[in-house]
Amino acid sequence: MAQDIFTRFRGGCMMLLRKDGDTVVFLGTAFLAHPDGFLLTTAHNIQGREHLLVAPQETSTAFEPTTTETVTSCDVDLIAIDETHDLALLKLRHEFDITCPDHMIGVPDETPPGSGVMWLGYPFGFQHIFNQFIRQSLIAAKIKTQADVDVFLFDGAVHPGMCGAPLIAADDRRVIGVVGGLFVPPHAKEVGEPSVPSLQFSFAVSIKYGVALLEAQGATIV
Amino acid sequence: MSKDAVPSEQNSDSWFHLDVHPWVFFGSAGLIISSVILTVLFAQYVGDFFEQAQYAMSKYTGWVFIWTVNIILIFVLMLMFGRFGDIRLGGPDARPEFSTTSWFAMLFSAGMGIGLLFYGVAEPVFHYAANPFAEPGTTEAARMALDITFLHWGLHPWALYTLVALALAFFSFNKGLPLSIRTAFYPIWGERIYGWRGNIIDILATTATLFGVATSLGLGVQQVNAGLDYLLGIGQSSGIQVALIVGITAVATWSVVRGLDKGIRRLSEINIVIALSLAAFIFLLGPTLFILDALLENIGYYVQNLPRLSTWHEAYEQTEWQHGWTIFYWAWWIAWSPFVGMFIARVSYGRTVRQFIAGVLFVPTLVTFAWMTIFGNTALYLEMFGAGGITEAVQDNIPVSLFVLFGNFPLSAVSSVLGVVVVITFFVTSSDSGSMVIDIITSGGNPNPPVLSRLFWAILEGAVAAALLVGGGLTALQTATITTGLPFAFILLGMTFSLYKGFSDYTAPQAFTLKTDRDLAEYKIKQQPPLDKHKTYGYRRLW
Repeated sequence: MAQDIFTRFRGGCMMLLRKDGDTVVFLGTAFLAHPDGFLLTTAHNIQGREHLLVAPQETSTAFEPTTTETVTSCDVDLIAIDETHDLALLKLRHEFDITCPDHMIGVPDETPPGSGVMWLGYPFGFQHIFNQFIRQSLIAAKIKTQADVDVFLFDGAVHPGMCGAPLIAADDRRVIGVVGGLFVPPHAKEVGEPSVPSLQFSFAVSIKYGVALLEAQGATIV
Repeated sequence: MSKDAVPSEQNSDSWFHLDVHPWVFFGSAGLIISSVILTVLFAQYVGDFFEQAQYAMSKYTGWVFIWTVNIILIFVLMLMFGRFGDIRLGGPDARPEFSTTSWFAMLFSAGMGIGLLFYGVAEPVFHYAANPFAEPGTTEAARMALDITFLHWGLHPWALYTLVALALAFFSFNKGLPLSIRTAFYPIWGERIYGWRGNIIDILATTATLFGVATSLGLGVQQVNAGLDYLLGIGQSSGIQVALIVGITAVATWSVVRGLDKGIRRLSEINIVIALSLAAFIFLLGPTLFILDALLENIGYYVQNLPRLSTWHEAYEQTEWQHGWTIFYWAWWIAWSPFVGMFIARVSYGRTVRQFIAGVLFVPTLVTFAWMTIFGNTALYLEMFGAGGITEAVQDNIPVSLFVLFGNFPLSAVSSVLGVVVVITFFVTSSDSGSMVIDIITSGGNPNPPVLSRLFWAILEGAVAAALLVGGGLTALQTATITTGLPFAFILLGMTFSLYKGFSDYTAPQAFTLKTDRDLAEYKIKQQPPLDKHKTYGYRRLW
């Protein structure tokens, strides 16, 4: 199961980077969401609209070095920002031959708590480790925030580099959310004990907001 | 999936809406009408020509058919047990349009139809009297008779239907392509399926389907007339037979105009209920214990002998028995596969590949085996342990043999009436599903074709049957239809490749490659701590 999901999504799951002079800096994870070259990530990964790049991982099964000095990347344009739902839509600037599985977008509303989920990205990018990781857990809860945003809570701590990764339902191998970060209870409800740590839960916003961004650009969701 | 690929019932009652594919619609209609005129004018010549063609096809390309049906059966089984089994026709969120019971009723009514009724009795008796594997009239001959019958009506024909139906359903419902035979070649030809080669395939499928259904109807009403004459003494004439065609066509036209759900589904359900009642009737009044014993043994023998029988080609015997039986059947099922496959595809939205294959390959096969055992073994029981006389009746007149069989058991008047009703309802369900398939193809793959088009094809089907019945040439055109089995055999083999490629692409992982290397650039990476979220877009507003 995990192997299938990893194989299915690894090619479209990329490092998000920003050009800084002659170098690049790591910003987080982005993933291919449409065969027209659209990628989704979290809005809080984006610093500045210009000079954004993505770098895919080699899709071999060989052992990869933990660190690398250089990265081969390609330009992307920031197409839309949805700050309310913490999402950003990017598009590959150049022409690519893209294979995107049909029906890769799932149905978040019909995915119940308790469902298995996986997510893959680059958790240690900020530590200069640029390997792709896959993790699995369960949907712990589905909540609507005070800003009226549908959010999945899942058990497991998301590392900063994983923000923007696709949250994938294990049973039908479809993307149901975009990983946002660690869940901090005071963000959801600022009452009670403010210092209660919650390192065991993370959140992802529903993919339906990503679909809305794509459809606003005229992309047909298959 | 494109949203318009969902086979809804929209526009099904828009009478004045005529949305057709002009090349396929008028090309098929022109070819059919001109063929009928030529056949009626030159019936003898056309008959001789296609008879020779069919003989040559059996003699020189019999091995092609045997390879084809076996390759397709193995391919379909591999799909069922392989990694593509979880693919759902219509996409992961699709749900079946029809209940499982209605689904079985429709695919069974379209798939086997009338042949089961007549050959359920006749074929085992024919093989009991003569087959190449055993001395006629012996216990071994009886065992082989059912085994050969199971071969001809079992997994192989349903595997052909499964392949065609699966390819059409997948490319139509999952990829948003038109529900048409040409669609199955999209992975190979791409957009060229919309050109002349796609038109030719669709015209060939339309013509073969119409001639197949119309000639069956024309020849079938002669058999019904013979049966009715045997039962009621009404005589046999072309007037009665044309009246039967008119009646059957009228009901079929009503059914196809009413649509899939309100017409064809209901008639199929009624048909299956009546057919099962007849089978239950014979099962209970006939040699019940013998039938139960035989069913188990027949299935076991079939499973044991399947590899041997399905690859046997009388190479060492140098006889021609197989031409008239096995090769004929393979050509016949292949020629019918576009029609039955298209119909099954149309009603199978929302099933997974595994459910679909289990439902289309195994369930009808088991039902067919039960049916053949009830009727065939009852006939053999009479021959082996009873009064006999069935062999003579079968060799004399196949449809009448059914009623001769009924006459050997109590309440034969009831079973005979039930038999006639089942014959007629099977004709109606074959006719309406055939019309629906032609409507879909000639309207460019629209799963809910316009009403005017449905009306046209349903009536044309009856008119062709009546014209050939009166003018002559029914057998000639039926033989011509069977000869289309050869080109369709190659089309089906192409479909296996196409479907495999389609499934592979569908489940392929995400990948992208640059069209030119100059679009990639290599940069040195600068280390930086995690982002300060207050300097980025989003995040805080989420909560």
